[in-house]
Amino acid sequence: MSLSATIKTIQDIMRKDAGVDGDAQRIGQLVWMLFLKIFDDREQEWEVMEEHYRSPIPERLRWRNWAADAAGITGEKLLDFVTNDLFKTLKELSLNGGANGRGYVVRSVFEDAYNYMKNGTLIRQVINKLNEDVDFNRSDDRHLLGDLYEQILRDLQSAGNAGEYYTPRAVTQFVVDMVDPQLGETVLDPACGTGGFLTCAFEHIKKRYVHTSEDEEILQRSLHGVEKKPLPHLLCVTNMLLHGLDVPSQIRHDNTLARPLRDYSPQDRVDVIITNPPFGGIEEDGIETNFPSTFRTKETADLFLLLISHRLKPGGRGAIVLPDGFLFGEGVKNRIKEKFLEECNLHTLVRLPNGVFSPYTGIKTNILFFIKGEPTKEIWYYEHPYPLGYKSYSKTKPIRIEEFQAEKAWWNNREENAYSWKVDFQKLRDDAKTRATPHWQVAEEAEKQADTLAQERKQREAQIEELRKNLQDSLLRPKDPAKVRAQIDSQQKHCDKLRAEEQQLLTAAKTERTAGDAIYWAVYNLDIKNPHALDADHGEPEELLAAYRQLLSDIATTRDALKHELMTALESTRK
Amino acid sequence: MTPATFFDNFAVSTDAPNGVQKLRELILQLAVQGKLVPQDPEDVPASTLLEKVQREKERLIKEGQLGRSKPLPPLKNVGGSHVLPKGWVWVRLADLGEFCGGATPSTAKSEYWGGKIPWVSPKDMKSDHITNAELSITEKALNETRLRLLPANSLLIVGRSGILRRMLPVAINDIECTVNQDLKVLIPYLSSISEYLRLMLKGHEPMVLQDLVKGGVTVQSLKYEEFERYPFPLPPEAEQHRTVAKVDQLMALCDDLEAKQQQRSGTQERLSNTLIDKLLTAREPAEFDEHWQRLCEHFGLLYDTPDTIGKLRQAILQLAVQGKLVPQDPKDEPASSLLTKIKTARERLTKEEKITKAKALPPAAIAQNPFNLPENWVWAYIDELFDVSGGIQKTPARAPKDNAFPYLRVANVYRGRLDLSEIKYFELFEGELERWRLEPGDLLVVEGNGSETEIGRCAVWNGEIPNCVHQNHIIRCRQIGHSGSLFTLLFFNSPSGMAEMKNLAITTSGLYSLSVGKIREILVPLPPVNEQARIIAKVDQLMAFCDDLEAKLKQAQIDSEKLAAAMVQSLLAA
Repeated sequence: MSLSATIKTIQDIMRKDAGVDGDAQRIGQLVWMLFLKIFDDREQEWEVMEEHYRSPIPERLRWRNWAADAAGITGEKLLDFVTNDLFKTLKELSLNGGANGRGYVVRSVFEDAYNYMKNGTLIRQVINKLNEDVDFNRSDDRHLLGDLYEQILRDLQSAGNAGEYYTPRAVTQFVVDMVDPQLGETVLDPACGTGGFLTCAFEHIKKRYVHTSEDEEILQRSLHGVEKKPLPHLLCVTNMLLHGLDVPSQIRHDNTLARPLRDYSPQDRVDVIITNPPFGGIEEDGIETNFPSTFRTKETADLFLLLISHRLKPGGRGAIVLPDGFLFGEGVKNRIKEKFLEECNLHTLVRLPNGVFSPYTGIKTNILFFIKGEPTKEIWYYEHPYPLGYKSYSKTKPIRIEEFQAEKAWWNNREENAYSWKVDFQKLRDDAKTRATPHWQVAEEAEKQADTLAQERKQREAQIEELRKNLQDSLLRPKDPAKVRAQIDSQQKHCDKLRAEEQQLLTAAKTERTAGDAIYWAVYNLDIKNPHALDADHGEPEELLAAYRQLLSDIATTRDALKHELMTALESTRK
Repeated sequence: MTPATFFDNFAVSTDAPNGVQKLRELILQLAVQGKLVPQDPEDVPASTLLEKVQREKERLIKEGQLGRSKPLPPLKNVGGSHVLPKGWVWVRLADLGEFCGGATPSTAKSEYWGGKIPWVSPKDMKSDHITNAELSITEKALNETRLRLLPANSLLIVGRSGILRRMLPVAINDIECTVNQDLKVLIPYLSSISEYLRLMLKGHEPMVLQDLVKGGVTVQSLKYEEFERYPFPLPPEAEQHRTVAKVDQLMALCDDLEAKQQQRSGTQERLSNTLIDKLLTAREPAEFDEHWQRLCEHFGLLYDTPDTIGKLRQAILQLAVQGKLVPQDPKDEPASSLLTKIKTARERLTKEEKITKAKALPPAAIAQNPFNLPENWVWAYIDELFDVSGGIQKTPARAPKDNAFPYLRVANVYRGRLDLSEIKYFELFEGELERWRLEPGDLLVVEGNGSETEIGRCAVWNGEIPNCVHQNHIIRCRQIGHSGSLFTLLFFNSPSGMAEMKNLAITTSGLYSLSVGKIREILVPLPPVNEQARIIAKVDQLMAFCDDLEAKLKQAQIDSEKLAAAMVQSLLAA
């Protein structure tokens, strides 16, 4: 309650300002202020921890020195300070400050930021409100920034347009728990948004594997993220700072897909990739040319899958959130799946129900867990059920991490149960291939025959051409033109016949090929329904009938009991 | 009507829609008239109870917990000819306890909210006892506002809400709580009588709603002054407890009955789905016969309410498209030769460039078929039987001007029928009329819909309007030779066809949409021409029966509901 109320108050203040136009600008304004405030909070910690700590920000520009005092500079003076001193200096911050690249972070944030507000008094009001109400120092408020972003997104109402959804914390937590990144492993989120997966991974490694300050240093270097949009990028950097990643310069503002796939060398490969790419989003023209032509598509999520399987080290672990559409999609999606399942062992597929991403979208999603470097053999499916009494998730009833207890217990001790089942993918594919091959062979044979016929036809056509030339050429003019003409005619007839046969063969080949393809590609439909689902429509009729009769007789019993009670009661009062 | 007639028809009235609800009202109203438990002459009379209440009130005033209020004038000439049972007295709510209201602490102050003290508002009033509230406030809010912490066992009454048009929510708080301004609270001086007071208000609900509620511009509200002083009959305390116990017992039975009735319709639906599904998946004739036999045996059990007739229609359509509704005639020209003829016609038309080229599809014979067909039927693709095409896109250039023609939209096409009450017009250009004009026998399929059940909605055009074209959201399937759009329509509307459409219509975005390409790939059964006609005639005949049955069942339901209401009414008057 308090957070959304605070944001609303702040937005109301900004609305009075002539310089701020629309929600997007309001948010842009808010984000750099939050960054400075959080950075300052962190600096207080660093000053204690590190000897000789020197802030990359000049003394007069530090939050504590101009913003923290509620009665500090305001009005024209404040506006002048922000635009002409604060922004100017921080945008061009010199990087030899010796602050371990922290200066780089500050600069990159301010390169993307802009001060929209034109009224110094109102700026002061916003700053004071932030100082009063938002306290990120309490550790239980660390995830507040994610909530804040979600709140902002809702206000913007633009979520979904580019497929950006905030990944629920229960999902990021579950994925990180299962992938279990170790100390020293490089972890990458190529579409990191506000850094939900990265902060989870950070906390996970820190809690379990970090014992010494050397460990801590290793951890600081091992997380990498890339985000295309400036606003989430800014929030991600701030978020990482908040969680104790001191130098979030490994969070780059870039489009991961903009670099040709083949340009990533083996050195660029990482141990762990966890991500929830934007789905349904369409990439700008030209992006798909960075990918091999057989896999070209504009669907962002598919491109990310290709990229991930390319960028994982052999034996590297991956997890990706994808919509149902990927599982049953055909065409290019099938080819991408074929390549993916050949390169990676997709060992687990957790199917999430509708509404996990409410209120942005209701579509069903899946988490794919895989290991690079071996083909897929068996796929375990787990259908995540709604908690008891839920029909869908919503803003007030979101998915919770406790719900994943069942999956976690099942993870290392797998058995088929009401929610999980196993698909022997390798066998299915081999079978399909065996069944499809005869069709393909027939098609190939027919194409070959057609080709032979075409060769012959072309020879004969060349001969016809030759004869025709002869007829016209005065020098080579044959003695008996009529005979030659007859010859041409008969050759022509032969050619027509050949052409017809050829056509027939090609049509037959095409039919066979489609038949073969239909059989083969069918196995790449990974949208496999739970065979153990208690499907109401497939009960045994006899049992159902018996149950129904029982119910009818139960109703009669209850009704009679009620009737009897009521009758007795009425009679007793009439005496 | 005598109680005997009521009990003779007990089953009819309790099974009526709202039957149990009516029964609950009956029980409550009988209870507060003293007709549910016998009076006991040994009971201490209610007048003594009133004296006890008065003493308790005096005590509270003395202890300073209660301000002294102006005494109410004595009750005179109450009830007219209405004679109270022995030992009962007339009483006003204001005699029995203290009334107070609620408020909302400032929502702008976040320090007021999210504390440990429940704050009850009308939306929490869903049960007879309040154990929790959706919102809660802090100690600070309690101290700084005029909100009062209510003791347990008070009566919370909704005093201002639109719900007062049809019911009066009353509940007892099991926990200490605060309330918002739309609730009225009665804190009885003696908490031992609150259960009966709740019952008393519920038992007199119809009267309270009629006489003590005033309508507002947007919401209704209780006339507090009158409500507090209205005379109600009050039984002796011992009888109160007996009545409460009896009502609880009877209500528990009602709950049980209602739950089972609900379960019944669910089980019934599952049962008919299963039986239809078994018919659909039966591959062997013997297996099919077995399931069919079972369906026939339990016909009355399955289809006994208007809601179940939809399932019956589905069963009929499923039988029809599987060739089980009319006998096959070996003298009919087999469908395979019909298909060959259609194919020849299709090729000729393609050559003449009158229709689009056939799509390369794997042979229908090897595709996965949903069910087995009779001997002389075959499976065929829609693309083999029909010329499928889209329609005209609506653009500003299409605004009617010089050359306007009627066109069909999604709103005109329903499942199996057309609604032509509102027709819009498109401007057409040279040659377009010929290209897009509908012809009798064209099968029209709606391209997309947000709702799962409406996918593949389709109907057949019979030339109702001359020179009519269609919008692009309606896909047109034109018959080639005798391909039979009427039979295909039956298939599309059958459970098999609808399942197929639904499968096809799934898209990556989660919305449902079909396309010309998808429709062309649908596999449909093709019976011989003569048999198609026989099937369609039979289906028409059976559907007419269904309509009749549905209408009669509906009437029966309405009658039973009326009967239940009438019986309850007369029993109360008796």
